[in-house]
Amino acid sequence: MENGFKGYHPISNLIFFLSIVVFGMLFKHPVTLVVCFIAALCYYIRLCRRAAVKSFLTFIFPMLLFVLIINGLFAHYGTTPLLTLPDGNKMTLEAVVYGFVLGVATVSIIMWFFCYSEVVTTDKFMCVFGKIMPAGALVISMALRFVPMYKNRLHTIAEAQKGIGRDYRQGNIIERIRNGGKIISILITWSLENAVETSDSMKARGYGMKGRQSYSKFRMSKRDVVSIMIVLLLDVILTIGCIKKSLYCIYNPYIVINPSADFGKTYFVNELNLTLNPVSAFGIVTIISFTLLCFLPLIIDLKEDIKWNRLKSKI
Amino acid sequence: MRKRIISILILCLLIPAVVIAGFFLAKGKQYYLVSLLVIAISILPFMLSLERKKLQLRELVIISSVIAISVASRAAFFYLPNIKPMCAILIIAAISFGAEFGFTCGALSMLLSNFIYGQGMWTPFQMLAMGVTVFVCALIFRTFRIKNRFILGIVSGILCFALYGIIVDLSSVFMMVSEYNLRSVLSIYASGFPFNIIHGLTTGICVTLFEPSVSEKLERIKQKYGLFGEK
Repeated sequence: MENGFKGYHPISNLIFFLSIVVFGMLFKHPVTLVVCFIAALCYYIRLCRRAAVKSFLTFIFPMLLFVLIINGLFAHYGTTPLLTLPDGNKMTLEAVVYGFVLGVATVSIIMWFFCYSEVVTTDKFMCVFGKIMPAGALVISMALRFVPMYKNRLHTIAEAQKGIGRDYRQGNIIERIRNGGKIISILITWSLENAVETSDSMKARGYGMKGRQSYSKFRMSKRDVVSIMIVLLLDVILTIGCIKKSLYCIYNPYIVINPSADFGKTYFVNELNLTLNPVSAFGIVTIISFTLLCFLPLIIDLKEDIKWNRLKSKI
Repeated sequence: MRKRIISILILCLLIPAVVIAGFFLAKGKQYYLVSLLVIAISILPFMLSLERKKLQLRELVIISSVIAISVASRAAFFYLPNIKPMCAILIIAAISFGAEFGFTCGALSMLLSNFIYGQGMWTPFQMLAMGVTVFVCALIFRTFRIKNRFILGIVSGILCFALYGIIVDLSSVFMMVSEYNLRSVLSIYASGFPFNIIHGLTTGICVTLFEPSVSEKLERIKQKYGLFGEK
Protein backbone atom coordinates (compact mmCIF):
# COMPACT_ATOMS: atom_id res chain seq x y z
CA MET A 1 0.00 0.00 0.00
CA GLU A 2 1.36 3.36 -1.02
CA ASN A 3 1.01 6.25 1.36
CA GLY A 4 0.53 9.98 0.92
CA PHE A 5 -0.44 11.52 -2.40
CA LYS A 6 1.00 8.47 -4.16
CA GLY A 7 -1.78 6.33 -2.68
CA TYR A 8 -4.57 8.51 -4.06
CA HIS A 9 -6.78 7.53 -6.98
CA PRO A 10 -5.13 7.74 -10.45
CA ILE A 11 -7.67 10.30 -11.68
CA SER A 12 -6.81 12.58 -8.78
CA ASN A 13 -3.07 12.22 -9.52
CA LEU A 14 -3.49 12.80 -13.25
CA ILE A 15 -5.67 15.90 -12.82
CA PHE A 16 -3.12 17.36 -10.44
CA PHE A 17 -0.16 16.81 -12.76
CA LEU A 18 -2.09 18.05 -15.80
CA SER A 19 -3.02 21.32 -14.08
CA ILE A 20 0.44 21.86 -12.61
CA VAL A 21 2.11 21.42 -16.00
CA VAL A 22 -0.37 23.68 -17.83
CA PHE A 23 -0.29 26.49 -15.25
CA GLY A 24 3.45 26.07 -14.72
CA MET A 25 3.85 26.90 -18.41
CA LEU A 26 1.27 29.69 -18.50
CA PHE A 27 2.50 31.80 -15.58
CA LYS A 28 5.74 33.71 -16.07
CA HIS A 29 5.53 35.80 -12.89
CA PRO A 30 8.73 35.66 -10.79
CA VAL A 31 6.90 34.68 -7.58
CA THR A 32 4.98 31.79 -9.17
CA LEU A 33 8.17 30.61 -10.89
CA VAL A 34 10.06 30.43 -7.62
CA VAL A 35 7.13 28.73 -5.87
CA CYS A 36 6.77 26.19 -8.67
CA PHE A 37 10.51 25.47 -8.69
CA ILE A 38 10.76 25.03 -4.90
CA ALA A 39 7.65 22.84 -4.70
CA ALA A 40 8.85 20.64 -7.57
CA LEU A 41 12.30 20.26 -6.06
CA CYS A 42 10.95 19.48 -2.56
CA TYR A 43 8.47 16.90 -3.81
CA TYR A 44 11.06 15.34 -6.11
CA ILE A 45 13.54 15.04 -3.24
CA ARG A 46 10.82 13.62 -1.00
CA LEU A 47 9.96 10.96 -3.60
CA CYS A 48 13.44 9.99 -4.76
CA ARG A 49 15.71 11.11 -1.90
CA ARG A 50 19.37 10.82 -2.90
CA ALA A 51 18.72 10.04 -6.58
CA ALA A 52 16.84 13.33 -6.83
CA VAL A 53 19.75 15.35 -5.48
CA LYS A 54 22.11 13.56 -7.86
CA SER A 55 19.94 14.18 -10.91
CA PHE A 56 19.47 17.80 -9.84
CA LEU A 57 23.23 18.36 -9.80
CA THR A 58 24.10 16.38 -12.93
CA PHE A 59 21.11 17.03 -15.21
CA ILE A 60 18.75 19.76 -14.03
CA PHE A 61 21.30 22.39 -13.06
CA PRO A 62 23.41 22.09 -16.25
CA MET A 63 20.20 22.35 -18.27
CA LEU A 64 19.29 25.59 -16.50
CA LEU A 65 22.74 26.96 -17.35
CA PHE A 66 22.37 25.83 -20.97
CA VAL A 67 19.06 27.68 -21.41
CA LEU A 68 20.52 30.75 -19.73
CA ILE A 69 23.60 30.77 -21.98
CA ILE A 70 21.65 30.21 -25.21
CA ASN A 71 19.24 33.04 -24.46
CA GLY A 72 21.94 35.37 -23.17
CA LEU A 73 24.18 34.88 -26.19
CA PHE A 74 21.76 34.49 -29.09
CA ALA A 75 18.74 36.63 -28.19
CA HIS A 76 19.22 40.35 -28.72
CA TYR A 77 15.85 41.93 -28.01
CA GLY A 78 15.35 44.41 -25.22
CA THR A 79 16.42 47.97 -24.58
CA THR A 80 19.01 47.61 -21.81
CA PRO A 81 22.45 46.57 -23.06
CA LEU A 82 24.67 45.01 -20.42
CA LEU A 83 27.83 44.40 -22.43
CA THR A 84 28.95 44.00 -26.03
CA LEU A 85 29.72 40.48 -27.26
CA PRO A 86 32.81 39.79 -29.45
CA ASP A 87 30.59 39.54 -32.56
CA GLY A 88 29.28 43.07 -32.09
CA ASN A 89 25.83 42.17 -30.77
CA LYS A 90 24.75 43.36 -27.39
CA MET A 91 23.86 41.16 -24.46
CA THR A 92 20.71 42.65 -22.95
CA LEU A 93 19.28 42.52 -19.45
CA GLU A 94 15.87 41.51 -20.81
CA ALA A 95 17.25 38.52 -22.71
CA VAL A 96 19.24 37.31 -19.69
CA VAL A 97 16.27 37.72 -17.33
CA TYR A 98 13.86 36.04 -19.73
CA GLY A 99 16.39 33.27 -20.31
CA PHE A 100 16.43 32.73 -16.57
CA VAL A 101 12.62 32.75 -16.45
CA LEU A 102 12.39 30.20 -19.28
CA GLY A 103 15.10 28.06 -17.74
CA VAL A 104 13.45 27.92 -14.32
CA ALA A 105 10.06 27.16 -15.89
CA THR A 106 11.51 24.38 -18.07
CA VAL A 107 13.46 22.82 -15.24
CA SER A 108 10.47 22.91 -12.86
CA ILE A 109 8.27 21.19 -15.40
CA ILE A 110 10.93 18.54 -16.03
CA MET A 111 11.08 17.90 -12.28
CA TRP A 112 7.28 17.66 -12.14
CA PHE A 113 7.53 15.03 -14.86
CA PHE A 114 10.09 13.11 -12.79
CA CYS A 115 7.59 13.21 -9.90
CA TYR A 116 4.86 12.10 -12.32
CA SER A 117 6.91 9.03 -13.27
CA GLU A 118 7.23 8.15 -9.58
CA VAL A 119 3.60 8.81 -8.61
CA VAL A 120 1.62 7.72 -11.66
CA THR A 121 2.94 4.22 -12.12
CA THR A 122 2.12 2.21 -15.22
CA ASP A 123 -0.85 0.41 -13.67
CA LYS A 124 -2.39 3.74 -12.65
CA PHE A 125 -1.95 5.12 -16.15
CA MET A 126 -3.49 1.99 -17.64
CA CYS A 127 -6.46 2.25 -15.25
CA VAL A 128 -7.40 5.67 -16.62
CA PHE A 129 -6.29 5.04 -20.19
CA GLY A 130 -8.19 1.74 -20.34
CA LYS A 131 -11.49 3.47 -19.66
CA ILE A 132 -10.96 5.88 -22.56
CA MET A 133 -9.41 3.51 -25.09
CA PRO A 134 -9.87 -0.18 -24.24
CA ALA A 135 -8.14 -1.55 -27.35
CA GLY A 136 -5.17 0.80 -27.01
CA ALA A 137 -4.86 -0.12 -23.33
CA LEU A 138 -4.94 -3.81 -24.20
CA VAL A 139 -2.15 -3.31 -26.75
CA ILE A 140 0.03 -1.37 -24.31
CA SER A 141 -0.50 -3.63 -21.33
CA MET A 142 0.27 -6.73 -23.40
CA ALA A 143 3.37 -5.03 -24.79
CA LEU A 144 4.44 -4.12 -21.26
CA ARG A 145 4.36 -7.77 -20.31
CA PHE A 146 6.05 -8.84 -23.56
CA VAL A 147 9.08 -6.57 -23.10
CA PRO A 148 10.70 -8.44 -20.17
CA MET A 149 9.65 -11.77 -21.67
CA TYR A 150 11.31 -10.92 -24.98
CA LYS A 151 14.41 -9.68 -23.20
CA ASN A 152 14.73 -13.09 -21.54
CA ARG A 153 14.18 -14.79 -24.89
CA LEU A 154 16.84 -12.56 -26.50
CA HIS A 155 19.24 -13.65 -23.80
CA THR A 156 18.40 -17.33 -24.36
CA ILE A 157 18.88 -16.99 -28.12
CA ALA A 158 22.15 -15.10 -27.65
CA GLU A 159 23.51 -17.84 -25.38
CA ALA A 160 22.69 -20.47 -28.00
CA GLN A 161 24.21 -18.39 -30.80
CA LYS A 162 27.35 -17.89 -28.75
CA GLY A 163 28.08 -21.59 -29.13
CA ILE A 164 28.45 -21.18 -32.91
CA GLY A 165 30.37 -17.92 -32.66
CA ARG A 166 27.51 -15.58 -33.52
CA ASP A 167 26.97 -13.78 -30.26
CA TYR A 168 26.52 -10.02 -30.14
CA ARG A 169 29.82 -9.79 -28.28
CA GLN A 170 31.88 -11.38 -31.07
CA GLY A 171 33.47 -9.80 -34.14
CA ASN A 172 33.85 -6.23 -35.36
CA ILE A 173 31.09 -3.62 -35.36
CA ILE A 174 29.37 -4.66 -38.60
CA GLU A 175 29.52 -8.32 -37.60
CA ARG A 176 28.09 -7.47 -34.19
CA ILE A 177 25.20 -5.62 -35.80
CA ARG A 178 24.64 -8.53 -38.18
CA ASN A 179 24.66 -11.01 -35.30
CA GLY A 180 22.27 -8.79 -33.36
CA GLY A 181 19.98 -8.74 -36.39
CA LYS A 182 20.09 -12.51 -36.60
CA ILE A 183 19.13 -12.76 -32.92
CA ILE A 184 16.22 -10.35 -33.44
CA SER A 185 15.13 -12.26 -36.52
CA ILE A 186 15.02 -15.48 -34.51
CA LEU A 187 13.07 -13.68 -31.79
CA ILE A 188 10.49 -12.53 -34.36
CA THR A 189 9.94 -16.08 -35.61
CA TRP A 190 9.56 -17.33 -32.07
CA SER A 191 7.33 -14.52 -30.82
CA LEU A 192 4.90 -13.69 -33.60
CA GLU A 193 3.61 -17.25 -33.97
CA ASN A 194 3.35 -17.37 -30.21
CA ALA A 195 1.42 -14.10 -30.17
CA VAL A 196 -1.11 -15.42 -32.67
CA GLU A 197 -1.58 -18.50 -30.50
CA THR A 198 -2.07 -16.26 -27.45
CA SER A 199 -4.73 -14.29 -29.27
CA ASP A 200 -6.55 -17.44 -30.36
CA SER A 201 -6.52 -18.64 -26.78
CA MET A 202 -7.87 -15.27 -25.61
CA LYS A 203 -10.66 -15.50 -28.13
CA ALA A 204 -11.50 -19.02 -27.01
CA ARG A 205 -11.82 -17.72 -23.45
CA GLY A 206 -14.30 -15.10 -24.53
CA TYR A 207 -12.33 -11.89 -25.02
CA GLY A 208 -14.47 -9.15 -26.58
CA MET A 209 -17.80 -10.79 -25.73
CA LYS A 210 -20.67 -8.74 -24.41
CA GLY A 211 -21.12 -8.25 -20.68
CA ARG A 212 -17.50 -8.67 -19.72
CA GLN A 213 -16.02 -6.13 -17.34
CA SER A 214 -12.48 -5.16 -16.51
CA TYR A 215 -11.01 -5.31 -13.04
CA SER A 216 -9.55 -2.23 -11.45
CA LYS A 217 -7.79 -2.26 -8.14
CA PHE A 218 -8.37 1.44 -7.49
CA ARG A 219 -11.46 2.65 -5.64
CA MET A 220 -12.62 6.23 -5.52
CA SER A 221 -12.96 7.18 -1.86
CA LYS A 222 -13.99 10.38 -0.08
CA ARG A 223 -10.50 11.83 0.18
CA ASP A 224 -9.95 11.33 -3.59
CA VAL A 225 -13.17 13.20 -4.38
CA VAL A 226 -12.17 15.98 -1.98
CA SER A 227 -8.70 16.30 -3.50
CA ILE A 228 -10.15 16.38 -7.04
CA MET A 229 -12.61 19.08 -6.00
CA ILE A 230 -9.82 21.16 -4.44
CA VAL A 231 -7.65 20.90 -7.56
CA LEU A 232 -10.57 21.79 -9.84
CA LEU A 233 -11.50 24.78 -7.65
CA LEU A 234 -7.89 26.03 -7.76
CA ASP A 235 -7.90 25.48 -11.53
CA VAL A 236 -10.96 27.69 -11.88
CA ILE A 237 -9.37 30.49 -9.83
CA LEU A 238 -6.12 30.22 -11.80
CA THR A 239 -7.98 30.24 -15.14
CA ILE A 240 -9.81 33.41 -14.11
CA GLY A 241 -6.44 34.84 -13.10
CA CYS A 242 -5.08 33.98 -16.53
CA ILE A 243 -8.01 35.58 -18.33
CA LYS A 244 -7.95 38.72 -16.17
CA LYS A 245 -4.15 38.90 -16.62
CA SER A 246 -3.73 39.49 -12.89
CA LEU A 247 -0.16 38.17 -13.02
CA TYR A 248 0.72 40.00 -16.21
CA CYS A 249 4.45 40.33 -16.87
CA ILE A 250 6.41 41.28 -19.95
CA TYR A 251 10.12 40.90 -20.55
CA ASN A 252 10.33 42.41 -24.04
CA PRO A 253 11.17 45.19 -24.96
CA TYR A 254 11.51 46.14 -21.28
CA ILE A 255 10.60 44.43 -18.03
CA VAL A 256 7.23 45.12 -16.41
CA ILE A 257 6.15 43.03 -13.45
CA ASN A 258 2.41 43.02 -12.56
CA PRO A 259 -0.28 44.96 -14.49
CA SER A 260 -0.39 48.72 -14.06
CA ALA A 261 -2.67 49.78 -11.20
CA ASP A 262 -4.09 53.06 -9.92
CA PHE A 263 -3.28 52.29 -6.28
CA GLY A 264 -0.10 51.54 -4.38
CA LYS A 265 3.39 52.64 -5.29
CA THR A 266 5.04 51.87 -8.59
CA TYR A 267 8.81 51.47 -8.59
CA PHE A 268 10.88 52.45 -11.61
CA VAL A 269 14.53 51.64 -12.02
CA ASN A 270 15.50 53.94 -14.85
CA GLU A 271 18.98 52.56 -15.53
CA LEU A 272 17.53 49.07 -16.07
CA ASN A 273 14.20 50.11 -17.70
CA LEU A 274 12.48 48.12 -14.98
CA THR A 275 8.90 48.72 -13.80
CA LEU A 276 7.54 47.13 -10.66
CA ASN A 277 3.78 47.62 -10.26
CA PRO A 278 1.98 46.72 -7.03
CA VAL A 279 0.23 43.34 -6.88
CA SER A 280 -3.54 43.59 -7.31
CA ALA A 281 -5.92 41.92 -4.86
CA PHE A 282 -6.84 39.19 -7.31
CA GLY A 283 -3.16 38.80 -8.11
CA ILE A 284 -2.57 37.86 -4.47
CA VAL A 285 -5.47 35.37 -4.62
CA THR A 286 -3.98 33.84 -7.77
CA ILE A 287 -0.53 33.55 -6.22
CA ILE A 288 -1.96 31.91 -3.08
CA SER A 289 -4.00 29.42 -5.14
CA PHE A 290 -0.99 28.59 -7.26
CA THR A 291 1.11 28.04 -4.13
CA LEU A 292 -1.58 25.77 -2.68
CA LEU A 293 -1.76 23.81 -5.93
CA CYS A 294 2.02 23.36 -6.07
CA PHE A 295 2.33 22.27 -2.47
CA LEU A 296 -0.81 20.09 -2.44
CA PRO A 297 1.00 16.71 -2.63
CA LEU A 298 3.52 17.83 0.00
CA ILE A 299 0.71 19.00 2.30
CA ILE A 300 -1.09 15.68 1.90
CA ASP A 301 2.10 13.73 2.57
CA LEU A 302 2.96 15.85 5.59
CA LYS A 303 -0.55 15.46 7.01
CA GLU A 304 -0.31 11.69 6.77
CA ASP A 305 3.17 11.70 8.28
CA ILE A 306 1.95 13.70 11.27
CA LYS A 307 -1.06 11.42 11.67
CA TRP A 308 1.16 8.34 11.51
CA ASN A 309 3.60 9.68 14.07
CA ARG A 310 0.79 10.55 16.45
CA LEU A 311 -0.71 7.06 16.14
CA LYS A 312 2.70 5.47 16.53
CA SER A 313 3.38 7.26 19.81
CA LYS A 314 0.07 6.02 21.21
CA ILE A 315 0.88 2.35 20.66
CA MET B 1 -11.97 5.81 -48.67
CA ARG B 2 -14.55 8.49 -47.98
CA LYS B 3 -13.90 8.17 -44.26
CA ARG B 4 -10.21 8.71 -44.85
CA ILE B 5 -10.86 11.88 -46.88
CA ILE B 6 -13.08 13.22 -44.09
CA SER B 7 -10.44 12.52 -41.45
CA ILE B 8 -7.75 14.19 -43.57
CA LEU B 9 -10.03 17.21 -44.04
CA ILE B 10 -10.66 17.44 -40.30
CA LEU B 11 -6.92 17.30 -39.69
CA CYS B 12 -6.24 19.96 -42.32
CA LEU B 13 -8.85 22.30 -40.80
CA LEU B 14 -8.35 21.58 -37.11
CA ILE B 15 -4.59 21.99 -36.92
CA PRO B 16 -4.48 25.47 -38.50
CA ALA B 17 -7.51 26.42 -36.38
CA VAL B 18 -5.70 25.42 -33.19
CA VAL B 19 -2.51 27.18 -34.29
CA ILE B 20 -4.37 30.39 -35.13
CA ALA B 21 -6.51 30.28 -31.98
CA GLY B 22 -3.43 29.63 -29.86
CA PHE B 23 -1.60 32.47 -31.56
CA PHE B 24 -4.35 34.99 -30.87
CA LEU B 25 -5.33 33.80 -27.39
CA ALA B 26 -1.80 33.56 -26.05
CA LYS B 27 -0.38 36.34 -28.26
CA GLY B 28 2.21 33.96 -29.69
CA LYS B 29 3.78 33.23 -26.32
CA GLN B 30 2.64 29.68 -25.67
CA TYR B 31 4.28 27.78 -28.52
CA TYR B 32 4.71 24.69 -26.40
CA LEU B 33 1.09 24.30 -25.28
CA VAL B 34 -0.21 24.97 -28.79
CA SER B 35 2.19 22.43 -30.26
CA LEU B 36 1.06 19.85 -27.68
CA LEU B 37 -2.55 20.37 -28.79
CA VAL B 38 -1.55 20.00 -32.45
CA ILE B 39 0.26 16.77 -31.66
CA ALA B 40 -2.72 15.40 -29.73
CA ILE B 41 -5.01 16.17 -32.65
CA SER B 42 -2.70 14.51 -35.14
CA ILE B 43 -2.13 11.36 -33.10
CA LEU B 44 -5.75 10.92 -32.03
CA PRO B 45 -7.22 9.70 -35.37
CA PHE B 46 -4.73 6.84 -35.52
CA MET B 47 -5.45 5.84 -31.92
CA LEU B 48 -9.19 6.03 -32.56
CA SER B 49 -8.83 3.88 -35.67
CA LEU B 50 -7.43 1.25 -33.35
CA GLU B 51 -10.67 1.37 -31.35
CA ARG B 52 -13.21 1.76 -34.09
CA LYS B 53 -11.92 -0.39 -36.90
CA LYS B 54 -12.84 -3.62 -35.13
CA LEU B 55 -9.44 -5.07 -35.79
CA GLN B 56 -9.13 -8.77 -35.37
CA LEU B 57 -7.82 -9.77 -32.00
CA ARG B 58 -4.91 -11.39 -33.81
CA GLU B 59 -3.94 -8.08 -35.35
CA LEU B 60 -4.09 -6.28 -32.01
CA VAL B 61 -1.81 -8.87 -30.44
CA ILE B 62 0.57 -8.68 -33.42
CA ILE B 63 0.71 -4.89 -32.97
CA SER B 64 1.61 -5.20 -29.30
CA SER B 65 4.11 -7.93 -30.12
CA VAL B 66 5.87 -5.77 -32.74
CA ILE B 67 5.96 -2.86 -30.29
CA ALA B 68 7.48 -5.06 -27.60
CA ILE B 69 10.05 -6.50 -30.02
CA SER B 70 11.11 -3.02 -31.12
CA VAL B 71 11.50 -1.88 -27.50
CA ALA B 72 13.23 -5.03 -26.32
CA SER B 73 15.54 -5.14 -29.36
CA ARG B 74 17.82 -2.68 -27.62
CA ALA B 75 18.93 -5.59 -25.44
CA ALA B 76 20.33 -7.42 -28.49
CA PHE B 77 22.87 -4.59 -28.86
CA PHE B 78 23.83 -4.46 -25.24
CA TYR B 79 27.50 -4.07 -26.14
CA LEU B 80 26.86 -1.33 -28.72
CA PRO B 81 24.95 1.17 -26.59
CA ASN B 82 24.55 3.76 -29.36
CA ILE B 83 22.58 1.43 -31.58
CA LYS B 84 18.82 1.59 -31.14
CA PRO B 85 17.30 -0.65 -33.80
CA MET B 86 13.74 0.36 -32.79
CA CYS B 87 13.13 2.63 -35.77
CA ALA B 88 14.60 0.09 -38.21
CA ILE B 89 12.41 -2.76 -36.96
CA LEU B 90 9.30 -0.59 -37.04
CA ILE B 91 10.05 0.54 -40.60
CA ILE B 92 10.55 -3.05 -41.81
CA ALA B 93 7.32 -4.14 -40.06
CA ALA B 94 5.40 -1.21 -41.55
CA ILE B 95 6.61 -2.07 -45.06
CA SER B 96 4.95 -5.47 -44.66
CA PHE B 97 1.90 -4.52 -42.58
CA GLY B 98 0.98 -1.06 -43.86
CA ALA B 99 1.77 2.60 -43.23
CA GLU B 100 -1.06 3.25 -40.75
CA PHE B 101 0.05 0.24 -38.76
CA GLY B 102 3.47 1.90 -38.76
CA PHE B 103 2.19 5.17 -37.34
CA THR B 104 0.27 3.46 -34.54
CA CYS B 105 3.19 1.20 -33.69
CA GLY B 106 5.70 4.04 -33.79
CA ALA B 107 3.68 6.30 -31.51
CA LEU B 108 2.82 3.53 -29.04
CA SER B 109 6.35 2.13 -28.90
CA MET B 110 7.76 5.54 -27.95
CA LEU B 111 5.11 5.75 -25.22
CA LEU B 112 6.05 2.27 -24.04
CA SER B 113 9.79 2.86 -24.02
CA ASN B 114 9.20 6.05 -22.04
CA PHE B 115 7.34 3.97 -19.45
CA ILE B 116 10.65 2.17 -18.97
CA TYR B 117 13.12 5.04 -19.39
CA GLY B 118 11.02 7.87 -17.89
CA GLN B 119 8.22 10.06 -19.22
CA GLY B 120 8.83 13.71 -19.93
CA MET B 121 7.52 16.64 -21.83
CA TRP B 122 9.32 15.23 -24.85
CA THR B 123 7.07 12.12 -24.93
CA PRO B 124 4.36 13.56 -27.25
CA PHE B 125 7.02 14.90 -29.61
CA GLN B 126 8.81 11.55 -29.69
CA MET B 127 5.52 9.75 -30.32
CA LEU B 128 4.65 12.01 -33.23
CA ALA B 129 8.21 11.93 -34.60
CA MET B 130 8.50 8.15 -34.58
CA GLY B 131 4.99 7.72 -35.96
CA VAL B 132 5.56 10.17 -38.80
CA THR B 133 9.00 8.79 -39.67
CA VAL B 134 7.78 5.21 -39.90
CA PHE B 135 4.60 6.29 -41.71
CA VAL B 136 6.45 8.29 -44.37
CA CYS B 137 9.06 5.57 -44.93
CA ALA B 138 6.42 2.86 -45.31
CA LEU B 139 4.30 5.07 -47.58
CA ILE B 140 7.24 5.77 -49.91
CA PHE B 141 8.44 2.17 -50.02
CA ARG B 142 4.98 0.68 -50.49
CA THR B 143 3.78 3.06 -53.21
CA PHE B 144 6.99 2.81 -55.27
CA ARG B 145 7.43 -0.90 -54.47
CA ILE B 146 11.11 -0.46 -53.63
CA LYS B 147 12.71 -3.83 -52.95
CA ASN B 148 16.44 -2.98 -53.10
CA ARG B 149 17.73 -3.14 -49.53
CA PHE B 150 20.45 -0.53 -50.03
CA ILE B 151 17.96 2.06 -51.29
CA LEU B 152 15.69 1.15 -48.37
CA GLY B 153 18.54 1.64 -45.94
CA ILE B 154 19.73 4.96 -47.37
CA VAL B 155 16.24 6.49 -47.65
CA SER B 156 15.13 5.39 -44.19
CA GLY B 157 18.41 6.54 -42.66
CA ILE B 158 18.03 10.02 -44.17
CA LEU B 159 14.35 10.28 -43.22
CA CYS B 160 15.07 9.07 -39.71
CA PHE B 161 17.84 11.64 -39.30
CA ALA B 162 15.83 14.50 -40.78
CA LEU B 163 12.22 13.93 -39.69
CA TYR B 164 12.79 12.36 -36.29
CA GLY B 165 15.59 14.77 -35.39
CA ILE B 166 13.69 17.88 -36.44
CA ILE B 167 10.46 16.98 -34.65
CA VAL B 168 12.07 15.80 -31.40
CA ASP B 169 14.44 18.77 -31.12
CA LEU B 170 11.48 21.06 -31.74
CA SER B 171 10.38 20.30 -28.17
CA SER B 172 13.65 21.77 -26.84
CA VAL B 173 13.31 24.76 -29.17
CA PHE B 174 9.81 25.53 -27.88
CA MET B 175 10.84 25.13 -24.28
CA MET B 176 14.21 26.83 -24.23
CA VAL B 177 14.36 29.59 -26.82
CA SER B 178 12.85 33.00 -26.17
CA GLU B 179 13.67 34.71 -29.44
CA TYR B 180 13.18 32.68 -32.59
CA ASN B 181 16.15 33.82 -34.63
CA LEU B 182 18.24 31.55 -36.81
CA ARG B 183 21.21 31.36 -34.49
CA SER B 184 19.41 30.40 -31.29
CA VAL B 185 17.35 27.72 -33.06
CA LEU B 186 20.44 26.41 -34.85
CA SER B 187 22.36 26.21 -31.57
CA ILE B 188 19.70 23.86 -30.17
CA TYR B 189 19.76 21.74 -33.31
CA ALA B 190 23.57 21.70 -33.24
CA SER B 191 23.53 20.31 -29.69
CA GLY B 192 21.24 17.50 -30.85
CA PHE B 193 23.11 16.89 -34.12
CA PRO B 194 25.51 14.11 -32.98
CA PHE B 195 22.67 12.02 -31.52
CA ASN B 196 20.55 12.45 -34.61
CA ILE B 197 23.30 11.60 -37.07
CA ILE B 198 24.17 8.44 -35.11
CA HIS B 199 20.49 7.51 -34.92
CA GLY B 200 20.00 8.01 -38.66
CA LEU B 201 23.18 6.15 -39.56
CA THR B 202 22.47 3.12 -37.38
CA THR B 203 18.86 2.99 -38.57
CA GLY B 204 20.06 2.93 -42.18
CA ILE B 205 22.61 0.19 -41.45
CA CYS B 206 20.09 -1.87 -39.48
CA VAL B 207 17.43 -1.63 -42.20
CA THR B 208 19.96 -2.69 -44.84
CA LEU B 209 21.22 -5.64 -42.81
CA PHE B 210 17.93 -6.90 -41.34
CA GLU B 211 15.47 -6.25 -44.15
CA PRO B 212 15.69 -9.50 -46.17
CA SER B 213 15.35 -12.01 -43.35
CA VAL B 214 12.92 -10.09 -41.16
CA SER B 215 10.49 -9.02 -43.87
CA GLU B 216 10.40 -12.57 -45.23
CA LYS B 217 9.20 -13.77 -41.85
CA LEU B 218 6.65 -11.00 -41.48
CA GLU B 219 5.24 -11.71 -44.95
CA ARG B 220 4.92 -15.37 -44.06
CA ILE B 221 2.98 -14.58 -40.88
CA LYS B 222 0.78 -12.19 -42.81
CA GLN B 223 -0.09 -14.77 -45.44
CA LYS B 224 -0.48 -17.67 -43.06
CA TYR B 225 -3.03 -15.97 -40.81
CA GLY B 226 -4.55 -13.55 -43.32
CA LEU B 227 -3.67 -10.39 -41.38
CA PHE B 228 -3.81 -6.72 -42.36
CA GLY B 229 -5.87 -7.00 -45.51
CA GLU B 230 -4.19 -10.16 -46.80
CA LYS B 231 -6.76 -12.64 -48.10
